[in-house]
Amino acid sequence: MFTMGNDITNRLCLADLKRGDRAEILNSEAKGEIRKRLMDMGLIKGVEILVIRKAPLGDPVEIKINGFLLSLRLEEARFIYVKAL
Amino acid sequence: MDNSRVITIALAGNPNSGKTSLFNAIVGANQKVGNFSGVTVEKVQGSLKYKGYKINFIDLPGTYSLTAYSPEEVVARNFITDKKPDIVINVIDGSNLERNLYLTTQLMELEKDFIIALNMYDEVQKKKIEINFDLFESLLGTRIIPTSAKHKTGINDILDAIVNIIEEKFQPKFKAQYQHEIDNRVEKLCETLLQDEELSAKYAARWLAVKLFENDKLVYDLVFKRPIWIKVYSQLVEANKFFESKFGEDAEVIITENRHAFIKGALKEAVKFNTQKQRNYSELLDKILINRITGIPVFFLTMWAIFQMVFKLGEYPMQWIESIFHFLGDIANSTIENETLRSLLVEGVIGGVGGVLVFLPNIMLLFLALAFLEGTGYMARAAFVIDKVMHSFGLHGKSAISMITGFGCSVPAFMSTRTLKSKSDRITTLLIIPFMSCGAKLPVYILIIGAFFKVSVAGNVLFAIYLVGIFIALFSAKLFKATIFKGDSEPFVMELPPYRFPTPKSLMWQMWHKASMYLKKAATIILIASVIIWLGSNFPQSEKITDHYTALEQQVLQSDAHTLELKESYLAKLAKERDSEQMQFSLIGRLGKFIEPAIKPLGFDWRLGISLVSGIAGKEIVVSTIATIFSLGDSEYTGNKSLQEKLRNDDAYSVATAISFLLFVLLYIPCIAATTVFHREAQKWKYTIIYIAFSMGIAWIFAFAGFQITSLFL
Repeated sequence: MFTMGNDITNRLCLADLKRGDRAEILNSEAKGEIRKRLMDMGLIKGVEILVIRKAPLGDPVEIKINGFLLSLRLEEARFIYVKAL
Repeated sequence: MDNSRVITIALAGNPNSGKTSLFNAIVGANQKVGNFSGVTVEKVQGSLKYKGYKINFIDLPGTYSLTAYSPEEVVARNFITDKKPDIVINVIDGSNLERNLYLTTQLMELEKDFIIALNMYDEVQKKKIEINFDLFESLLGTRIIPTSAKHKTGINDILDAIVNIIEEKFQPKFKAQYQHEIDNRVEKLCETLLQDEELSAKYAARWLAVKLFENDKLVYDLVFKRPIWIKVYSQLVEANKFFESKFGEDAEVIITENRHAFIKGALKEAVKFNTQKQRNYSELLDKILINRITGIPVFFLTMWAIFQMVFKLGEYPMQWIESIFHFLGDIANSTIENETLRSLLVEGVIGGVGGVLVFLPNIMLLFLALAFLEGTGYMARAAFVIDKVMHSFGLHGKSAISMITGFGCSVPAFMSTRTLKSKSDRITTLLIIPFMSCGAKLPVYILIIGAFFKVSVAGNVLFAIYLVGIFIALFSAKLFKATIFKGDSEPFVMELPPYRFPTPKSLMWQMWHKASMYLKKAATIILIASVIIWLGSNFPQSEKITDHYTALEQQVLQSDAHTLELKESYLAKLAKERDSEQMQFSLIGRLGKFIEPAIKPLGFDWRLGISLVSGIAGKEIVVSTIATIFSLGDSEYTGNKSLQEKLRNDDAYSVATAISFLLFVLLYIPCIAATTVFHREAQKWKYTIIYIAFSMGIAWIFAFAGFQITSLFL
């Protein structure tokens, strides 16, 4: 068993979080329009978010960020890497 | 004071910031709606006179940012840069400052005069947020005026601020400062851009510079062709290299972070938030309405409620309108001598106009319901709850609402797709709404099912038809997304605004606005189409047939052998037979016979063919046409027993025919009214043609399959 120097499999993304989790955003790996949208809505490095809930069918996810409520699909949330708080 | 001067003011701000309510509070009912040229983005204007000036207000589309992706954002920013309004009013939601100010920072880059309307100030006060306006204003560089569109406060202050700027008693001075690594490079790029006189005369250099660092596509395209590009490009490359190596991010991200840092800094100094835990009613409501258990049921309950309101409630005014038109028809019938003119007026014009107006109550009620949903904030929740299902078929959560409306009538359903921002979502939804069996098809189903199926299974067959419609709709969506709209995936990222209570006035305005749109455009075309169809079903007429029946009528009248009552019933029977034969002779009749070879594989003959053709006028007409052809005159839509018997006993038809006919009616092109509105909403002929071809194709295929497969078993 050996571990790589940069163990990326341990990285946590927004899509992995559960209801009630608090996290701080590390970076975004989105590209193109989705990238701009996420940035416009304030999902940038250092911002703290709180996961409110997932939709009844499991997708999308609702988070609280900078005082307002934002929803995004899990496939979009996968681009945002976070650090649990 | 210049009495002849006209001032142009644009309102820019986030969606849900109360911008439109503020606009309404300022200009009142004095509004005009149009379109921004070349796009399906609405343009709302209004004007008022204040202190001797005439002020025109334009309500720009709500945007979170001035990027170049959605048509709304492009329209908003182009309006500010190209049309150059004198002043921009940046409307911000005072209870959501941080996000709203993001747009503000971008407006600052545009270097246009603007003032800030800190809207929803009543909510700010309720939340006990304390704002040091003087300090805030000096930090942002312009007037910040607290307003409440709801309570109509601050309006005059806004107008005064506007006049002050015009009269040069006040000059906004923006000084958003970013980290020096950015600011220095932006300065340098500005200097370069200023060398291009033509370019910098039209656009603020700072704005161009920042947008270039942000990889903005439209600005890129603008500057790319200029000779100055070489110098610009080298600076951009240097900047990105620098930021990547020093910060690990490109310039675009750095700028975004800087904007947010600026905002945070300004808020920290000038605004004191109440740190006490406050009852957040919105979050409480959400806990009840969209939790894991109640989410879906509440969604369907809401949809059901809308449906009831629109179609059940709408029935009353619908009946009034229908009776008014019947009344008019009766008057025309009794006063006009000339038979052709009478028929034209009664069936063509009055019938046509009535056919248009009859949709009006539904449309108004639907838009009232939608405005209420949107205004309260529940619409976003509905999309949130149902999105997973919709997305698996390539649609957006919001499509569900339009689709469910389609069960009542396609016309308002098409119009409701305007809530979908993405073009591919909107067109796809438009294309599949007709498969949601509309109300007018129900009489046809009842007639056919009642004729060919046992009472015990009738209900199940009806339900099955609706289900088939839904499945075909969803799979068609998937098909379109995989072919025509391939690769066009729009982000779902969506704000869930706080729950609010919309004012009755704003609801009424929206309802009226949509209704008048319908009347203006769709109505005229539907009317013309109705007259054409009337012409097609009544002409040409055969003299031979007329003469033949007139002779028969004479025989009956002159005969002594029968009582008056018997004579009248014979005459009525003759009239129906004559109508039936004339119909076959008419244009529509000939069309029906002409298409017979194409519909034979489906189990139809020319009689069903004619009824299907006539169904283009309106699906309920299929029933009356069948009745006419089978010489039964005015049958009621509740499935006239004798008509059903005739169908059942006719050797040309069987259960297999019934199934294929049901499928065909479910799927083929909707009525002319719906098609007209479709075209209005989709705007391109290409889509309307796809719409027609696809529905006809699917209808034929499924009816064919239905007929052939059922025939194998029976």
